[in-house]
Amino acid sequence: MTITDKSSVKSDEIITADQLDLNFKYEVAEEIGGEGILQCFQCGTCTATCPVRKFDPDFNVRRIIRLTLLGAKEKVMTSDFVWLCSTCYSCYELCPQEVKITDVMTALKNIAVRNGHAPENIKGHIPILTEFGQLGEITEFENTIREKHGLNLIVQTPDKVRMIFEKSKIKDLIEGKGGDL
Amino acid sequence: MDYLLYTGCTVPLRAVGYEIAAIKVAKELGINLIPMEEFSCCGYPIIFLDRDTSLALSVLNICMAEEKGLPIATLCNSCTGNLTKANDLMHKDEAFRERINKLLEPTGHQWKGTIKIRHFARILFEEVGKEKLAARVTKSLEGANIAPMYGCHYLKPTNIYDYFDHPDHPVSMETLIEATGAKPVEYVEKTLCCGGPILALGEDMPMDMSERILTGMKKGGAEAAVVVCPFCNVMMGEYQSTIGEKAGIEYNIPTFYMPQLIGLAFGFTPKELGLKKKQVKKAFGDILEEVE
Ligand code: SF4
Ligand code: SF4
Repeated sequence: MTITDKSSVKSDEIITADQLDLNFKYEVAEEIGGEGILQCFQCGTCTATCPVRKFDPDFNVRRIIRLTLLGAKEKVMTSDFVWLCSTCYSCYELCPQEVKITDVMTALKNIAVRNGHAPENIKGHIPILTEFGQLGEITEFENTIREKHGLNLIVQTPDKVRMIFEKSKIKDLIEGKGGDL
Repeated sequence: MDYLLYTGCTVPLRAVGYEIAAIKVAKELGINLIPMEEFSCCGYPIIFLDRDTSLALSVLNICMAEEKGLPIATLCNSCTGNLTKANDLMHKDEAFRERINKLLEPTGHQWKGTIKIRHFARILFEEVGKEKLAARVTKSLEGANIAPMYGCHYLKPTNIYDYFDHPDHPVSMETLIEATGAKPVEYVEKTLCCGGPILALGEDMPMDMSERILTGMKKGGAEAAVVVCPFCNVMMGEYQSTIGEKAGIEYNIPTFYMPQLIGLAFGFTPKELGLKKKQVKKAFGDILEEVE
C-alpha cells in the first residue's frame, strides 16, 4: 500500500475542509467543562486507558478531540461516540495536558443535546424526575419493606426539582431548542 | 458523630439492604446516620443532558443538609461524585456559583458552603479506621478471599476527593476487608469501570466491561466480591449470571456491600443486614459456623 492508496478509508470518513466549522473548538472551550480542550497535544494517553475503547475500537477519545479541534462539528455531534463515554475519569486522571477530558466529553454531550441529538432513553429521565423528584417511584411496596426494617418512610417531594427544571428550561433544551445546528 | 444519610434514587429502589446494613454498622461504631427527610435526585443521571441543571440538583440537596447543620454521608458512588463536584465548584468557581444560585432562587434555598460530603466507606476508612473496626469483630471472616471493587466515582476525580486514596492502586477497601479478618484479592481490574452509567444506552458494552472485571476477580481466586456502589452491584451481582453465560464462565462470586460484609463480621445475622441466608452460606458457609 502506498501513501496515496486510500482504499482502506471509507469515503464517509474523509473530512473535507468545506465541512469544517472552524469556530467549533471555541464553542466547546466556552462550554462549561470544555475549557481544557485547546490544550490537547494528541498524545493518545486517553485512548490507551479508556475501558470503553477496549470493546469498541471505533470509540477513540483522542480522535473525538482531534475532530473537534479540526471543526468537524456535524460529525462529532451526530455520531454515537460522544454518548459512549461512561464518565469513568480514567483518562482525566492521566492526561498530561490537564484537558479534563471527562468534562470535555460532558460538554460535547450537552452541546449535542441543545442541537437536538439527545438519546431518547436519557431524555426519558426528565419526565420521571419531574414526577417523583427521584429516578423512580417509591411505592407502598418499598415503604413496607422499609418499615419492617425500621427505616424511615420515604415521601417523595418533587416540587423543588420542578422549580429548578423550569428555571433552567431543561424541557426545551432536550428538544433541541437552544442549539444552532 | 452524626451524618445525614443521603441514599439517592438507586439505593431505596434496588439496594435497600445496603442502607439497612450501613445504619446498623454505623451505630455500632458510634456514628448516627440520620435519614434525610426531604431529598431528591443528585442530578447525576441528567449530567449528559445539561451539566448546570444536574449540578443544581446536587446543590439543592447540599443546601437542605446545611440547614440541618450536618455533613452528608453517601452510599452511591455517582451521588458522591455529583454532590462533591457541585460543592467543590461552588467553593472555587464564582461564575458557576452565580449561575447555580439563579437556578436555586425559586426554591428559596441558598448555598452557604458549610458542610462536607463523605462516602460511607471513606468515613469507615478515615474516621473509624482498621483498628477500631477490628476490635469490634466477633465473627472473624478469616480464611475468606474477597475481591474489592472500587467503581469510579468513589476515587475519581482525585482532585475533588483530596487525594484520599490512590486512583490506580487504592488501599481503602482492602483495609476495610482486612479489618473483618478476610483476605483481599489482588487483581488489576479492581478500579475499572463497570459501565453502569451507559447502561441506559444498551447493555452490551457494560456487560463486556463488567466481564473483564469479573474474570479478573475469578482469576485472583475470589470467593466473594465487595462493592461500595449500587450500580457496581447491578453489574457485578444482578448481571453476573447473564455475563457468565455469554462468556461461558461460571463465576459464582456472591457480591456484598461493604457494610454488609463488616456487619457479618460484627455478628449480625444475614436477615438483619438485608441479606439472603443462601448468599451468605455460599460465600462464607465454611467460615461462619452457623448462618441463621
Ligand atoms: S491524554 Fe490529553 S493531551 Fe493526550 S490526547 Fe488525550 S486529551 Fe489530548
Ligand atoms: S472518562 Fe470516558 S473517554 Fe475517558 S476513559 Fe472513561 S469512558 Fe473513556
